[in-house]
Amino acid sequence: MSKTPLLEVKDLVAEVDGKTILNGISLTVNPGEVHAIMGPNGSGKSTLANVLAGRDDYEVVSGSVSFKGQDLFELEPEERAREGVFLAFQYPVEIPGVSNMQFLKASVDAVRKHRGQEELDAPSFMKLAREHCKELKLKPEFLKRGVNEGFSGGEKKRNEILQMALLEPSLALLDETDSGLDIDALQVAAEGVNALRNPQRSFIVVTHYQRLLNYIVPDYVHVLAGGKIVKSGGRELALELEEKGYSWIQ
Amino acid sequence: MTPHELKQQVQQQLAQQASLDWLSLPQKAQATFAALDMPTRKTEAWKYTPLTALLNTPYFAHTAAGQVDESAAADRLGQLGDVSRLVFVNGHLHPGLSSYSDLENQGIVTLFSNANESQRELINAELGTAFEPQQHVFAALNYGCIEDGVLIQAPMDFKVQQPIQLVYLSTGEAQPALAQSRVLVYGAAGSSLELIEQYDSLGETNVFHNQMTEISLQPNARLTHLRLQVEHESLSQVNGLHVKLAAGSHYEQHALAFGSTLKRNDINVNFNGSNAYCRLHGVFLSKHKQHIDNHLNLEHGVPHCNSDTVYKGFITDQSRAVFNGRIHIHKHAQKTEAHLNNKNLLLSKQAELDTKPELEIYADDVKCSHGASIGKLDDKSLFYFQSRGIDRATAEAMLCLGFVNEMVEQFPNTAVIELARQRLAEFFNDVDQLNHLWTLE
Repeated sequence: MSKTPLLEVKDLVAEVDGKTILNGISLTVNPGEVHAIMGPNGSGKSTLANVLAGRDDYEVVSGSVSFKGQDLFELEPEERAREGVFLAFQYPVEIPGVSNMQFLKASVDAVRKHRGQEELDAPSFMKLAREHCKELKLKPEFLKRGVNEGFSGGEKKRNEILQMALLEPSLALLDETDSGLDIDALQVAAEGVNALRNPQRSFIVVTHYQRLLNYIVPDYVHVLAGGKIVKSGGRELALELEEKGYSWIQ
Repeated sequence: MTPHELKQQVQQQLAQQASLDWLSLPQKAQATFAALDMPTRKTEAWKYTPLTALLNTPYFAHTAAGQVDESAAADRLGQLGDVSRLVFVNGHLHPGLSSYSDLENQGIVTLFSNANESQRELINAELGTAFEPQQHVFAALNYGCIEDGVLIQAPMDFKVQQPIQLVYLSTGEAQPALAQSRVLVYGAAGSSLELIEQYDSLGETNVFHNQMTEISLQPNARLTHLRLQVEHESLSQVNGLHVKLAAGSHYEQHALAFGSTLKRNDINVNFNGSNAYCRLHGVFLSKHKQHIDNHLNLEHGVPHCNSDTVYKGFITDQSRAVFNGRIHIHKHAQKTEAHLNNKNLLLSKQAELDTKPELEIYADDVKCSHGASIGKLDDKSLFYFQSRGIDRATAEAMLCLGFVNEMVEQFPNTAVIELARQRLAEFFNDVDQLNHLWTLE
């Protein structure tokens, strides 16, 4: 029996300020799969992640995206999040004055409410958040600080993973989670991601380098160039790219 | 009544009212008042704050009586823990709501009317000296009649353990009335004190509150000053705060202020001795048709002093806010380091903000900066919230709260932070689904 795809992207064309960034992307992601999107700078890989999450800096010109059988573009960004789309940002914004705990609670409350689950009371939520912090080697004080305020690069990325763990998405989009991380921080982040892998949850891992894929092992690798997927394959494609460089594809 | 006629009427009243006979200031202040014109739109310092409504309301014909329901008032005072408290109701000290006998016995808090000989000398020597009388007509009005006042005096090298909470409650009067109060804070050399000012109200009010506070810090004295101006929006208030800093003294202020029918804050800081430090951190909010005007003036008159001023403004609906922050570095004030910044969130097209950071430098070896910005809520931040399942309206509300809270969370007193958040929750009552978020630390 064939699986029902979680995400189906068909001939997606998107532009920003009249400039075409995605030029006909098609991609099918089934439940439980990990897809890596690789490509040189400016190839459109971050744009793809952001368009799927609903960022309105980009204009979708044509094509369709269906997520769990519904038209993704009919949904506001917050509705996509509640339905299970999660974007781990490349550059998470700093929000002074709003504590990380307030932010996480508001977020988890909104998502749980949508899924028909009860809101967690404050003590249970804090307990849960602290447990996840521990797994990600984040100190509990981390929750009291302003959202991403003064966080190191590694802390910001781990905060994204923490949010992902709390929101339990069905599709996680990791936008260059490895950028700006040293090898130790990268391992912690990757372990956080791997702990969340299960047969229902899918990942799209956007990365420039093969390095991250040593830790988060993908089922499929797609190479993006000029706003199109120019080559797809298994994880060995990433290794080949590492060796030969992107010019080999282009 | 024309402003001129009004002034003459007030002048006559001032002359008739009884002041403390040993005080020299009221007569001088009356003369100053007589010599000054009421500010108009052409008066530079009042350009964006019209006084037409104030002068056309018959506030000046009556002095507020200050009657209040004691239990309702007590509920409004906040839970600030172990503090000495003085409560004024429409300008009158209310003994039933106040509790400061310990500090009174120690001579730290004294009513002018109870002042002994040396305290009288001190009051006569200090009161009215922290500012230029010609520039402050409302100060002259306040000091033109002094039936009483409060002297807070921290003794030499003494750390006053309990914070002193000054509560100025505004409440409704039988008719529009004038409420005036005045406090002189004197920190002797090496002393240390925490002052909490809470301007609050019990429902609607029809008073005009004209407040004067003078602070004089002697060498190496320290004062931490927290200030909540969270009254009902029906209030009209002109509030003068004048600070003198001697060598090595340290003054730190954290303020939260709401707009109202009229609210005008003058904060004037004079550096009179080297190595003094002043920090002014404030956040002001205005909504509906409120008005708030913050006039800050830092006079760096001597070398080697530092000041650090950060003011944030939250302006929405049809309200109007003014920020005027001036740093004046005098010729001999070398090695001054002074920074001033005003950052504003303007959320409505009908709202207006006039901001003017001013830097006047006559010394050549100083480090100074000043700046102001006006912006909307940041789209990237909003998207970040939305991408986490939070709807746009909640995201906007949380960002607004965050903008304000960034300042409030720096208050060096957790009980005051809590009180500030309660009042903020009232201010943001249309987003009350967020109130519980304050408790998630």
